[in-house]
Amino acid sequence: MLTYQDLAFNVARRLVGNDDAACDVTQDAFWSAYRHLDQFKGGSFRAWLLRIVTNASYDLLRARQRNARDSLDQMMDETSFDAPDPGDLPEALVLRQETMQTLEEAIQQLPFEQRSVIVLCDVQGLSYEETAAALQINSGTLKSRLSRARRRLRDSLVQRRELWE
Amino acid sequence: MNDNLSAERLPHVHEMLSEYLDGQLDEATRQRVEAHLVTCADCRADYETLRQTVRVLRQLPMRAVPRGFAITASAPPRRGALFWLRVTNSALAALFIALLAARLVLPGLGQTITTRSDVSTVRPAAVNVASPAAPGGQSSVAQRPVGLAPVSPNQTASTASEAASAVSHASAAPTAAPAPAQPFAAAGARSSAAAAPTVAPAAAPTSIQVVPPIAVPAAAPVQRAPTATGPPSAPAAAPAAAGAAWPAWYDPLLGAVGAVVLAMLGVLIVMGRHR
Repeated sequence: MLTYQDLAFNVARRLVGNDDAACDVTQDAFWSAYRHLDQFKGGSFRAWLLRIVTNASYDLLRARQRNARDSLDQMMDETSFDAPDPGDLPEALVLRQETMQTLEEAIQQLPFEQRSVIVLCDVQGLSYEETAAALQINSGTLKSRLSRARRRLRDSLVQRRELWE
Repeated sequence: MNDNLSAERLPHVHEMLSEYLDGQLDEATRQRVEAHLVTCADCRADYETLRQTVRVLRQLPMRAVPRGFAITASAPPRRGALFWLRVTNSALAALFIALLAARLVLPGLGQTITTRSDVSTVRPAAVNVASPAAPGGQSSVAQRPVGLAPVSPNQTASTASEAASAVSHASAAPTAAPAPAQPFAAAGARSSAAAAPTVAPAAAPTSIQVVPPIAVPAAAPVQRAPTATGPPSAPAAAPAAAGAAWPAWYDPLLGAVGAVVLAMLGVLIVMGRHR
């Protein structure tokens, strides 16, 4: 399972929005997968593991929303990269860091259902079949959800010209 | 034909651009979409921005994992501690509610129980007191007013024979003897023939049944059960007994459990906030 820890952590990180929560989600998902390994019925193990990660992320966000603890501003702050001092970097790289941060923030603003398909399908590059299996949705639902998510993300990024160069 | 297709399929092409971008369309549909994109500038711009969006998404780098997630027997999940804290807090909260409910509801019940226990302790005391003094006590009660001076056992023994003789005389003159003395007359007659202490146990039950209210003052001088001497002291005994139902450490324990529950609740809130 450790083969997938980078993938699991990155998916969790982009679903829940900060490193600490992503670590908790990943650890819990690994424990859950370890305990319920007998329930894996074959197919893509990666999709099965990411389904556990996605469900754990959703549970965490739902609990967080229920307690109304995290404001959108806090989510934005936690999305920042641990980038080096900008003075030490060439201008192009700094611009790229800003671009990445803009993109991460735009992803965080998507509804969870759309965010999950974007993260799995576009960011992590899973196939339609694996993404549908991980999210437990059918192919038609996945296609329409992915189309809406991309359009919504595109609309929020259209103001940033550097992304379109 | 292309114009007709464009008019009919325009909404569908719009919706199929995402699939077209991923190469998920069958050959025939793909050709129709491409033909439409050639003629429709809006859909072409739509497609181009979508393509750029997906392109930058796929360029997002993988983040470095802050720590390992190896599962070992000595590494339980981090949320396990939070889970058990919640379980413990719930159990303590339930205990607090039970203790508080008992404290609020049971005082009346405790008072009732202790009042009954007073009664049960009075009865044996009265019996214990009355039994040795029964022959003399009864006779003295029959002949003295209530609240008379204490009668010592020696006096009781000495008066027993006097009473026996007096009652025997009274039995000889039925019109002068009070009704309660009738059963005692037989006992007194027997006591005159035998020693007083040996007769006393046999006479004791009779004396209790005949004059219980008066027997109490007669027994009071023995001073073995001062709270059982009469009705005025009974109300004072009841609150004391009710207070004894709740030990002094009960309220501090209740407060301590409540404080622990609140403290753990605060810890849970803080831990949840930092997650």
